[in-house]
Amino acid sequence: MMSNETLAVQAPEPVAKLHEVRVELKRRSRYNQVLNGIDLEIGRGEIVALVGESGSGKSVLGMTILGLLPSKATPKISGTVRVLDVEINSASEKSLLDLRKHHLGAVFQDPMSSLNPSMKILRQLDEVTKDTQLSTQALLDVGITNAKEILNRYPFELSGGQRQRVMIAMALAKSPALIVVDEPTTALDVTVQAQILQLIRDLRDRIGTAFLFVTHDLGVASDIADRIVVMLAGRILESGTTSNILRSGQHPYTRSLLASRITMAQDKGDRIFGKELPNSSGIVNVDGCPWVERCNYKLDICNDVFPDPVLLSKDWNAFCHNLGAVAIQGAVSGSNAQEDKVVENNAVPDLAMSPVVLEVIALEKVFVSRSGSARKEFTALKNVDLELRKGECVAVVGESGSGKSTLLRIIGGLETPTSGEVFNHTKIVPRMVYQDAGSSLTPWMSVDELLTESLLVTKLSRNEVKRRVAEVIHHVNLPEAIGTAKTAALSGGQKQRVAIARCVIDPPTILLCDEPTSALDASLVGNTLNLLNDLKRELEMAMVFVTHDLAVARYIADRIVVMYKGRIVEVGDSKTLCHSPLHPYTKMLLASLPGTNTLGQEFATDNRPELGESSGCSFAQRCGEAIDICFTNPVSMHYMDDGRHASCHLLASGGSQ
Amino acid sequence: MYLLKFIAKRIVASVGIILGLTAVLFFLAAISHNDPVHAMLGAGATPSAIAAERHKLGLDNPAIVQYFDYLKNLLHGNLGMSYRTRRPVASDIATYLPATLELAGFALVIAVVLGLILGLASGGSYRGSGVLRSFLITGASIPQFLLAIGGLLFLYGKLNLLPATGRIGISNAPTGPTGFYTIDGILNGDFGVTLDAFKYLLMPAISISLGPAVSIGRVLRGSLISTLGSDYIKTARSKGIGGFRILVRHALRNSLGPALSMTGLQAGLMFSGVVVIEDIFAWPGIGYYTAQSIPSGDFPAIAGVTLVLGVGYVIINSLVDLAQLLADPRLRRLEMSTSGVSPKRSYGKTDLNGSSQTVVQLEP
Repeated sequence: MMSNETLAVQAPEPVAKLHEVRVELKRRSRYNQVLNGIDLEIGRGEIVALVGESGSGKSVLGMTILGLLPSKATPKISGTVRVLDVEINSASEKSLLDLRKHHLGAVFQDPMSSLNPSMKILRQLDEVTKDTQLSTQALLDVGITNAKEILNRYPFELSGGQRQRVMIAMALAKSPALIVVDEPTTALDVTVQAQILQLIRDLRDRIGTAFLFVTHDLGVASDIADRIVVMLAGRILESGTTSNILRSGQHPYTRSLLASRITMAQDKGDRIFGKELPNSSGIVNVDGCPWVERCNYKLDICNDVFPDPVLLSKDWNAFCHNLGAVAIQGAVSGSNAQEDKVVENNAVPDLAMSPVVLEVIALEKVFVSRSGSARKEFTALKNVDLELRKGECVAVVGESGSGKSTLLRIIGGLETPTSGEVFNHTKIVPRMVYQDAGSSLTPWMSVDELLTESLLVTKLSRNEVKRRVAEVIHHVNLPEAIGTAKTAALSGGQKQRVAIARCVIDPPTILLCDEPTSALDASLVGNTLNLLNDLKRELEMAMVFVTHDLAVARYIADRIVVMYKGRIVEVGDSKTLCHSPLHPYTKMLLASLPGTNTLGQEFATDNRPELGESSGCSFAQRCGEAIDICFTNPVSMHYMDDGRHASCHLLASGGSQ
Repeated sequence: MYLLKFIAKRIVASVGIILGLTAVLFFLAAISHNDPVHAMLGAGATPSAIAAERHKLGLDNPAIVQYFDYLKNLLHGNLGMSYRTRRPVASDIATYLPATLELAGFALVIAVVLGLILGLASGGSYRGSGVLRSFLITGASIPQFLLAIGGLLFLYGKLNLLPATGRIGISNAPTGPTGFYTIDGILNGDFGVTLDAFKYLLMPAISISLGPAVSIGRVLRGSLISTLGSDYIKTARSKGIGGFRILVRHALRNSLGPALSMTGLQAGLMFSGVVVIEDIFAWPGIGYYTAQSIPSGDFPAIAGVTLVLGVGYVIINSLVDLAQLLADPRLRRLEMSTSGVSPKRSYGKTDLNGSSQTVVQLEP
């Protein structure tokens, strides 16, 4: 599958060595066990991925190695954390500073907020290099070609990808032994993510720096890591080489992570496997296995005793009492996903016969900003047409800035178009599910109150309202007792369910979803998609689903609309579109999907200067297949059979296959 | 270029403020039934003399006519004659203003410096910051006049460390060139004068500045704490930069915005504080002048002082805004790219193709 293992330089002395590490952090004047008995070694030049859901302690582990646990939480560390020859938990502040100054680097999740906004890049880099020449070289090293120019800019004048490159340059400038990267690509577009991952691998090969790569995304981990360490609730549950874990992960939790991944291979008829914690009360089972509540293979002993590691092969450990049963069961059923499979799921309605509920015709949206006396226009949407049938789900896919959210907001009536029309044939206002369900719920209201509120307009009798609330709670698979709970007390997955329940309690004919899964853990993504699928079928809703993830779009949607810079570039049946894309941009998106193992492939960098509005195709500058005509002549839509269309010059000349 | 535009905008704003202030003042004068002519001519004046004087001053005209007469004079730089001192208000203010400017300026410097120190000291988390915090809370709730009277009783009455009233103890006070005794002393090479003036300045200035200092310190502390929790501070720590350097080089500048806003606000409040404090310490400034003018219904004097304070308020707040632009490059960019009055912060929205572009989204 990959030759990662051979690349790792097996030096005798590891860069970092953790033994029996326990970390307790104080939250609301109570100590919580955040890390529990961690054993980990990071070799020189090795890329180790820490994978786990939010709250698994993976970031805390990274910060422990950096010696940067927040002092406000008065951390208690036991065990040994040795980085190079420094014992982190007993070292003086001075030696920690020296260690970080010369031997450690860090790159954090959000490049937007990780650079000092009021300092030019030059000064921030110079703090590390002390020398402008070296700073320039550091930027060149991370593939920023116009380094001189970038050095003179403020962070807010750079794109997300550029900022993350600067962060990496800053971490690398001192040629450290180890860089801790904490979800470095989560906030970036897929194409940029692919470039950054590529960059990290290149740098490791060239400079020999080790990386501890913290991520929630197994796909990303599989692209980049030599070794994967799976964590849950402060424990390591399994660790092994990337190929071992991905091909035949043994721990039940690893298996559920693998099964809940939404890949391009996911069968659309299948439900996605994923289990939510019954009710995560925040109390962690400290002594036993943290997965026990959700485990299908649990033994009595699992509740009380955390298992010793089972050595499966060299460098491959799993922490489970019942691995034998897992192996047998796994072999019989092929995959855990079987358990949740629903059989009578195949009745796909013939959408072509369904009535059209929504029509968007020649929609344009221009945002105007004033620069002194000059007006500056930004075209968010350009000539967008869309048709939605009853019971159909259309996914709108694109990078940030593609106009996909603007389109959704206009359909939802939250924004007015500059020109063009939106015809809603149902006369019922569409409902909207937002990305961050947590903040779209009023925290001090109970679930019942919130749901009742959305029925106020219907003027139903009090008993009828009560019945409907109970019904919808049941519908979205929440326990009945949840009605009296304040929304602030719910878990992330529950919040998303309540947000969805609020939208469907008075069943809409059109449901608009704005990246409803991108802020959720992998297992919850599966749950949410399953739920939306069920609701769509039962309530015969039409759905517009905005996402940046083609794999999610492919799974949930009947049709996919790909947008680039405010224009629709390709439309087609979701399976066909993903299988045989027409537009080069769609191909690029598909190739950038993490876990598809296409690293090494060249992507157009995000460093190219903006050429301004040309009369040609807006994608031409990034397009690998562009021909002369693309830069000069405007493109028009080419229509094929079964509703597929794409706007690309190559289709007309028959050049692209 | 955008600096010129900025100044032009502020001048327009201050014209608006002057119009508004004078209108309010005339309205108050019209409903006050306070007759300055009685006070001017004394108790024994005959009704006909009073009527003649009223006519001479234009006080027999309707208020609206008086208002426009006043504005007309104002256009020619004429603030009118004081009823009480019988001198031009402009020259009265020129006499009293330096004392006030010296006091207010000195108080502002103390407030800012003390606020900065309080904010930085209580913003970090180490032993003793809790004590400082409680000091900040109590400090904010002491009224200025109480502080002034307390200071007088203790420092002058009990210890006799500092003088109680007036501006200087030396009889032949310097007459120029700035009118600020502390600075004039240095310019004339007479440091005795500076030192003496400083002693007189200390108590009133501290009385005025303690409240504002505490407010500025509290705001700074709050924004420092939230800045210290931000991602780029984490980045700086990961670079191996020490705690103090992080506080001063990375956190402080990014926390200045709210503290500067508070400084502007407090400077405005300070002007009203000056009137009270100058009266307590018999400080010969425009506050003292105003306090004398109010009982005798000396409308031109009151109006003149109000206008000067109003313009001063605009100037100080413009300076604060400029300082904010200096501290935050994002605001600078925004100020350059929009002519909107109150720019809503929209941090460089980035564009996927690399080069950045600030999309300032105004309400469509």
